Amino acid sequence: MNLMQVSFLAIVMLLLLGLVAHILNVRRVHRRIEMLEHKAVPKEKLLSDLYSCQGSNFNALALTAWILFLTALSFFYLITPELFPDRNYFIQLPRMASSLGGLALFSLLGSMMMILVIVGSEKMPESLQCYRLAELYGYYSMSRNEKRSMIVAIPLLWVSISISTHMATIYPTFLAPEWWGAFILLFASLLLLIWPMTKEMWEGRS
Amino acid sequence: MRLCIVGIGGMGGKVAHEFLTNEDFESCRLTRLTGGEHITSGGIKGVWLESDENEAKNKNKFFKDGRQNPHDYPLYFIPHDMVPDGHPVHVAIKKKYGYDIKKQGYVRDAQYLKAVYEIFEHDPEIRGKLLDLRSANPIFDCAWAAVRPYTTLGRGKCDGILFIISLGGGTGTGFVNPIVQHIRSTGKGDYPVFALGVLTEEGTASDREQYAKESKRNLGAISSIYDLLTKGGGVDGLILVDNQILLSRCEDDYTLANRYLHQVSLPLVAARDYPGEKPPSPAVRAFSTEGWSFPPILVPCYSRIRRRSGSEASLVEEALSKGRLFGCQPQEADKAIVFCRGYLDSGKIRNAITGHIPDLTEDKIAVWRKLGENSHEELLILLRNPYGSRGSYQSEGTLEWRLHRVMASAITYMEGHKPDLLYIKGYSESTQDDELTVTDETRQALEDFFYGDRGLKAELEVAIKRLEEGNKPFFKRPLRIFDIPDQKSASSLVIEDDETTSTQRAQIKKMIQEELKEMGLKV
Repeated sequence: MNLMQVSFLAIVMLLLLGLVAHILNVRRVHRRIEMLEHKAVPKEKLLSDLYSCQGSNFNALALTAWILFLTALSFFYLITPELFPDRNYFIQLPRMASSLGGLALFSLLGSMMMILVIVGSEKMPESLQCYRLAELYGYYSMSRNEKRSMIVAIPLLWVSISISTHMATIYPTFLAPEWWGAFILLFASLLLLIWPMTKEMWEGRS
Repeated sequence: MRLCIVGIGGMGGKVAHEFLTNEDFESCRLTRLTGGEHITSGGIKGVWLESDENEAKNKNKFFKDGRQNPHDYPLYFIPHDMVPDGHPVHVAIKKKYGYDIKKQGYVRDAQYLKAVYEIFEHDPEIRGKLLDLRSANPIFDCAWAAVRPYTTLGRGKCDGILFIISLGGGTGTGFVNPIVQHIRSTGKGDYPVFALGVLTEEGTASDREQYAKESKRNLGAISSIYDLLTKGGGVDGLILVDNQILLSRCEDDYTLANRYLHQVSLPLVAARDYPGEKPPSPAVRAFSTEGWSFPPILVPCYSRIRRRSGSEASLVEEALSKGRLFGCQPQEADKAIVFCRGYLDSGKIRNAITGHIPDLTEDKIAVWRKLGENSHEELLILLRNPYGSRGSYQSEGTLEWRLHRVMASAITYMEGHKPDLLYIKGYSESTQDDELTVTDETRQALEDFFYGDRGLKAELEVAIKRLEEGNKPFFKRPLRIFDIPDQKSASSLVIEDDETTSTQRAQIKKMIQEELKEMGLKV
């Protein structure tokens, strides 16, 4: 496996970790509450009581961060042909990619994809409401400082996108420091975005 | 339980700030796009009632002026602004009683606002001059109007009110009783109203902060506690906190102490209740007042420990031994209201409490749980009336010991400062104070109130005896300033008098209820 594939695997693993942590957290809370109540507690009831609004501004910024994350991921892996030699933007859509607003359109595509995921997740039934992206963080207890540090992901992702764009324009020249910079920023941003889930999973383990 | 936090006075405002801090990002531009609302833990709302314009406008950046833009949040209100300068009522009160109701920061005497409230409530001459203000009691109506929109009595969601005051300061000490009385007088007899009173510490440390010496602060504090505990239709619970204890836990840092007070309150106010365990404030009120005809004293005991399985016993032990926020004897408590955060078994909590306080049977312990942070678990026990054993006033760390000292100090102040309390010309020790010149009528009323046969000093002396003997409650008879003669004549009918037994009281109550039923009135 080359560096690009390893890095991609690391990102996917981290994403899965976030998802698994969230699933485990919800299940664990449910199990513990039922144990303490000595009776079955409907999941829908538990989820609605567990949810607390984190604020519209925070929600908007968190969703923006997720949208930017998918865009940054696409810019890092899909513009240059290193990971998917036949599936990158310039080979699949060469005319659009080479046009004046080619990269802007690409980022728009990435954003639209994520928006579709968010909107799609909103259609989930009540029993799965905890997987709605727009409500994800409402199931966690987050301080103002935690919220602030999570939103640092937005500028980090912007820088990652800018570096990826530069890497695409100078391709096939490969500058290792640039690559590492873009990757670390992408990875760190994802870490920040899944931090509440992993933190709760770690702290609530016993 | 969704509370409306009402901070009164300087200290009340600072603590309310901790409760009302927006947990969302604050960005005007973003808010315009998202329509974001001010988010607080547990969805609580609140307001700050202050009397000093300079304090509210120039020294505070958190609360906004409600008169500028009512859509701003959170707001501060200066109730006496409701009466314009030079208004006939302003002039009439000054002329008849000598009180300047427009004085910035109010007069720092607890009885001042009590007197003002009574004047508005009972003086027909003054009420006659209020027509253009569209309010019978403008100062207190205006204060209530600032709070009401956040409550379920207005269009808000808060099903209860928690007043936060400093006992021993100026505004909070004086304002809390009149405003509670006012809320009750508007027909909201069963709306849950609690007060969290922080008793200022002993010694000279807070003299500067409160602009008053210890004995004067003690008089203000005890006068306020007296009113809070004797008004039958007053608060549904007075949560007492000793600032001396708070400061000892917060390295004598007032800001940290305010934060700590907020942290202690989180099990009470935060969100994420256990399914089916979200107590409406009326339920907490019913439990806290059940079987007790006076407003009860609630002493908070708090503990927070790192999460581990089976931590209930440790939490209870820690809360009842080291976590008391006011001196008390837990074994004397007649009820325990428990709020906790974490994965905790309510049965184990009850067992642990019963282990410490054998007299508390399960039906006298209410437990309400929330999910908290995973790393720690928290427990807040509100012990109802944890005092009442003979001679315990001599043991440091009991409620009797602390209040005995406060009362003794207040009596000493009354004995040595008669000219100050009656505003006799030349009374002011400080050249910075503007002397208040009250009329002879007011001076006589104050003399009766403080020094009369059944005035405050006499009542405090009786209360001290009750404390020494371990009697509950230690304050019984409500006091007024301006109708002392009526009070005297009516006092023989007060059913809480010492002479009547509990059986007699129950019989009298039953007779009254039957009479009312016969008259077709709702009991």
